[in-house]
Amino acid sequence: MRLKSSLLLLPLLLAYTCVAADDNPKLSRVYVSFEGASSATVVPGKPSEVELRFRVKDGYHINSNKPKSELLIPTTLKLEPPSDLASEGVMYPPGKDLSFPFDPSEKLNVYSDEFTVRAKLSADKKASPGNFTVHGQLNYQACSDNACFPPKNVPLQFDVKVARASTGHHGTPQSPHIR
Amino acid sequence: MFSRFVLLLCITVALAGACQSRLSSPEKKTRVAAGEIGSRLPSFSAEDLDGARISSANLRGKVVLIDFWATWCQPCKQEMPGYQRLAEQYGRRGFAVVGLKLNTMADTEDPRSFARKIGVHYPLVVATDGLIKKFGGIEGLPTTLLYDRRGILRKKVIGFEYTKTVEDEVKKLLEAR
Repeated sequence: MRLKSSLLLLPLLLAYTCVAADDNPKLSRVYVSFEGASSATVVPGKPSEVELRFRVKDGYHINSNKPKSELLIPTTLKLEPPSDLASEGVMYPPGKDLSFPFDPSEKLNVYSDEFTVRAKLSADKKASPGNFTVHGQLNYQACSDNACFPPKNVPLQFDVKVARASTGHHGTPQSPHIR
Repeated sequence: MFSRFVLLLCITVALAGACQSRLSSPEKKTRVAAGEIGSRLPSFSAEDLDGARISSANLRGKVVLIDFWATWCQPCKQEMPGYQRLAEQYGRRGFAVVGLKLNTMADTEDPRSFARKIGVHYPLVVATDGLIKKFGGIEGLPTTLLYDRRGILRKKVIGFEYTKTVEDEVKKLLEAR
C-alpha cells in the first residue's frame, strides 16, 4: 500500500521539480535572515522585552526604521502574537549614516551586518502559564552599493514563556502566629 | 496491479522527457532570451502617467533607452535627471527615453510629482508584470536597457550608471548605420 502511494507521488514530484528548476534564482534572493530571539519570560501584568537578531547579507544594506527620506521604505517589524499575548511596541536600533557611490553627498540611514530589534510583549491576566509561539515578519527593502531590490519580508517565529502571575502574597513574611 | 504500474511508469517517463526538453531545448539555446544582449525590443503599447499612449511601434527606427525605476529607489532618483538631459540633447537625432515604473508596492510619492521634482519629462509608464516579463524580468533597480535603431538590445546595466558612460553608448548607436 505504501509502495503504491509512493509510486503515485512520483509523477507529481517530477512535475514540481521541472517547474521549480525554471525559476529565476536571482529574483528569489534573500538579503536578510532571522538569527534568533533572546529567551523571554512574560509574567501577566508585567511586559517583558525580547531581542530579535537579524543579519544583512554581505555587500547589501537595508533602510533603517528611520531612513532620512520619506521616499525610502523603512524597515518594520510586525508581530502576530497568540490571543493570550500582546505586542506593546517595537524598538528599532539607530541605523548607520552611510553614503554610496551614486550620491556621495547624501547620507542614508541604513542597517548592515547584524542588527537587533527589541519587542515588548505582555500577557493577558487570564493567560495560562506555558510556552507560546509568536509569529511575525520583518519588512525591508535592500540595496547594494549601486542597485536596489523590490521590498521583501523575512518571516520569523520565537517562543515566549508565560510564567504564573504573582498572587501578591509572595515574599510577604508569614505571621509567626499562623501555624 | 501490473498494468497500473506500467501506466505510472509511462507517465513518469513522459514527464521526465517533457521536463528535459523544456530545460535544454535546442530552440531555447539558439534564441536570445528577452532582456539579454542581442534580444529585440518587445512589442508593447501602454498609457504613460499623463495618459498619452506610447508603443514600441512609435519607437521604431530610434535609439531607445528603457529605464526601470521606482520612487523608493535612491540610485534611480540620481540617474533619471541625467537621462532627461540625454533625451533633450539627442532627441532630435532619433533618441528616445521611456521610464518603466516598478509597481510591486504602493509608491512612496505620487510618481508624477516625483518626476516633476527631479525635472524628468520623458514618458513614464507603469510596468505591469506582463511588461516586465517581456523585458526579461528585473533583478534590481535601476535597470537600463539601450536598444539600437533596429531594436536590438546593445547594452544592459543593472544598478546605477554614470550619465557620461551611457551618453558615450548613445552617441555610438546614433552614429552607427
